[in-house]
Amino acid sequence: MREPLSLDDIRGIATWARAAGLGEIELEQPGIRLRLVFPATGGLHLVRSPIAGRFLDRHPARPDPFARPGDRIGTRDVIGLIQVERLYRPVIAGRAGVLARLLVETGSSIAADTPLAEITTETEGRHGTRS
Amino acid sequence: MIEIVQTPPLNSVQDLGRYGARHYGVGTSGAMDDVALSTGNLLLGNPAGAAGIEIQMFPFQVKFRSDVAMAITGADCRAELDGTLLPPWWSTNARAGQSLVLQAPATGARSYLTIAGGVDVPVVLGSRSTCLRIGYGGHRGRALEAGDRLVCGPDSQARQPQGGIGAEPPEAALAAAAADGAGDETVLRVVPAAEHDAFPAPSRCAFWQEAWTVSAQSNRMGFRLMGTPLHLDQPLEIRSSGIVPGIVQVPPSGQPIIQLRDANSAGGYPKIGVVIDADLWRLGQARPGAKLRFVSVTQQQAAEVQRETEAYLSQVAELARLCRREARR
Amino acid sequence: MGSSALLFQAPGALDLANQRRIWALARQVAGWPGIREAAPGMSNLLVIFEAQSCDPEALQARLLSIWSTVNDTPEAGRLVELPVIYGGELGDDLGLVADRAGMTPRETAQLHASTDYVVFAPGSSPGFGYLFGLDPRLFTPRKNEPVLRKQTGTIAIGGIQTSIGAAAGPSGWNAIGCLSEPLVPFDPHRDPPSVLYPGDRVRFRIEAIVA
Repeated sequence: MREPLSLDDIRGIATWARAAGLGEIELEQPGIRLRLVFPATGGLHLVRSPIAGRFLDRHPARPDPFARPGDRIGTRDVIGLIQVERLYRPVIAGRAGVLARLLVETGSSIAADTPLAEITTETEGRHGTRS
Repeated sequence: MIEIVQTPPLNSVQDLGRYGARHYGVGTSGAMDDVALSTGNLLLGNPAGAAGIEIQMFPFQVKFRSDVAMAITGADCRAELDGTLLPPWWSTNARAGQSLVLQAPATGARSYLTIAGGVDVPVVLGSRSTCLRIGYGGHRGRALEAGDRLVCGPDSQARQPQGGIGAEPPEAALAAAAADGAGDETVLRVVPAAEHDAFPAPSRCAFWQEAWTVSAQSNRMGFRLMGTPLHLDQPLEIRSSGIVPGIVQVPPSGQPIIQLRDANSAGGYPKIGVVIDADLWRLGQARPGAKLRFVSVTQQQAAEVQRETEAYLSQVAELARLCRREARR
Repeated sequence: MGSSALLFQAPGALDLANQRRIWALARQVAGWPGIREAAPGMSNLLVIFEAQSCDPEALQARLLSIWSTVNDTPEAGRLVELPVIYGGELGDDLGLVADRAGMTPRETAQLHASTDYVVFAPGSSPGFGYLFGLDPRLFTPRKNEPVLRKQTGTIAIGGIQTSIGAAAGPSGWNAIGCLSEPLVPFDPHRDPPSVLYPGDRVRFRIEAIVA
C-alpha cells in the first residue's frame, strides 16, 4: 500500500497543474482519489477592434472617456470608438468585468482585430479533495 | 410606432421645409438645424428630408411601441435608451417597450429624433413640416403633446449594425468662418442684401464689426438681436417681397431681426444681409443670450460652403450604407 | 440673397401693368430647371433655386433679358366683395390715418372703400395677399414698434400698401377696420386653400363706421 498523499504533495501537484494552464485535475490510485478544481480568477478578455480606423477613448463632443481602468463594464457597454472618416463605430466590451487597461492611445490609427483593451473577467470557482 | 410620453410645448414634426406653395403665401417651415435632421436620417438610410421630431424644449420622453432603428442628432441632450446613455450624434436599434429620454442640453438649442422610414404624417402642400404659426402640417397642425402616437413610414424594417453607428458632428467636420472676436461667438457668413448700401457707414460698420446678442424674443419665426441701433439716413419705402430664412431685416427700431423658418412669408422692412443657407443650422443651435458675429461673403463663397456641407452629408450617407451592408453579411 | 435665392426688383413704378409682367415672369421662371419657387412681391420676384444646379449670375442675367420681352397679359381673376366695419376697437388707427390725411375718419373710410383693389402678391401670411390701389392720400408709414393683433381680418395700411390681416401676431401696419364676417383666410385642406390670389379684385363694402 502506498503512503497517503501529504499536503506538500498536493500543493506540488496543484502548482504544476496551474502552471500547465489546467482548470481541473483528477488523480486516482487504489485508495486515493484526488480532484483539484482551480477557480478562474485573473482571466483576461481582450477587446479587439471590429474594423480598421482611428481609436478614440471618448466621444469628441464629450469630456469624459467611455470607461476608465477600474470601472465595472457590462457585456454590451461601449468602451471606445473607431473613427472611419465621418463615421464612428462602437468598440463593445463583449464580456462583463472590470476594465483593466486600454492598450492603445486615443487617436491612434489601428488595424482591424487589434487588441484595444483588457477586461478582467470573474467566474465562480469551487474546489475539494477526497481521499 | 412611437408614443410621446412627456413633452413641454413647441416640439414638432419637421422635415426640410415646404417649397412650391409660396403663391398661397405659405412660408418654408422645416427644421431649424437642417444639417442635424439630415444627418440623423442619413445614418438610418432614410432620404435626408424624411420627417423627424424637432425638440427645442426639454425634458422629452418617448416610448417605442415597435422595434425601430432611431437616431439622435443636434444638441447633446444626453439621450438615454432604457437608462443607457447614448453617445451624441448616434443611431441604434430600439426595441418595443424601450423608453428614450432627452434632457436639456448644456450647449446648443435643438435636438432631432429620427426613425427608420421617417415619421409618417400626412403631406400638406408638399411637406410634412408643421407650421406652428398658422397651424397646419406635421402632426395635426400643432406641437406634440403627451399621448400622441406617431407611425413610422414604410422601410421602417431597416436596422443599424449591432451597437449602432455615429456621425462626426458638424461642429467638428464643418469649419465655421473665422472672425476676430471672442471664442464663444457664433460666426455667421452673410451675403449683403438689397438695402445694405443704403445704410450709412456707421450703421454698416456696427453690423459687421459688433457682436450681436440673441434676445429672449427669439424663436422659430425669427431672432431679435440686441446691439447698436442701425438707422437709415432717410426712411426708405420698401416694396414688400418674399422672405427666405436667414434674411436680416432692420425695422424702424434699429434692432435687426433674422427671419427664420416660421417667419412671415413676405415683408417690407429694409434688408441688410442674408445669412447663407449653409450656416442656418448654426443659428438653429444658438440660444437666447448667445453672441453672433457676421462675416461678409459673396454668393460664390456661399455656394462653396454649401458644397462642403453637401459633401459631408454624402460621406455620412455612403459610409452608413456600407456599414449596414457589411453588417448584413 | 444668400446662397439659394435672389430678388428681382422690376424697375419703374408700382403699377398694374408692371405687376402683370411680374406675374407672367413668375409663370415662366417657375418652369425653368432647378427653380424651387418663383414668388411675386410688389413689383418684384423672389426666386428660390437649387444651389447645385443653378448659377446665380446666369440666372440674374437671364431674368434681366427676359424682363424686357415678357408680356403683361391680364391675369384671370375674380371680383370678391368683403363687408368691413371701419374704426372701432379693431380699427384703432383710423383716427391716426385720418389726421395724417387731413380728413375725418368717416371720409377716410369712404375713400378707402371707394377703390377696387387688385391682389398683387401673396401676403405675409397665407390667405389674403397684398392689395394694390391705395389712394396716395391714405399712405401712412408703418409703426416703429409692431403692435400685437389678436384677430385675423384686420384692414390695415402700411406705407403705400393696404392689406387684410391673415394672421394674428405683431404687425407694424395701421389698423383702420376689420372684416365684419369671420373668414378663414387659409385652409390647406380647402379647395382652393386661400381666399384671395394674385389677380383677384377686392371691393370693400362699408357695413359700419365706428368713429
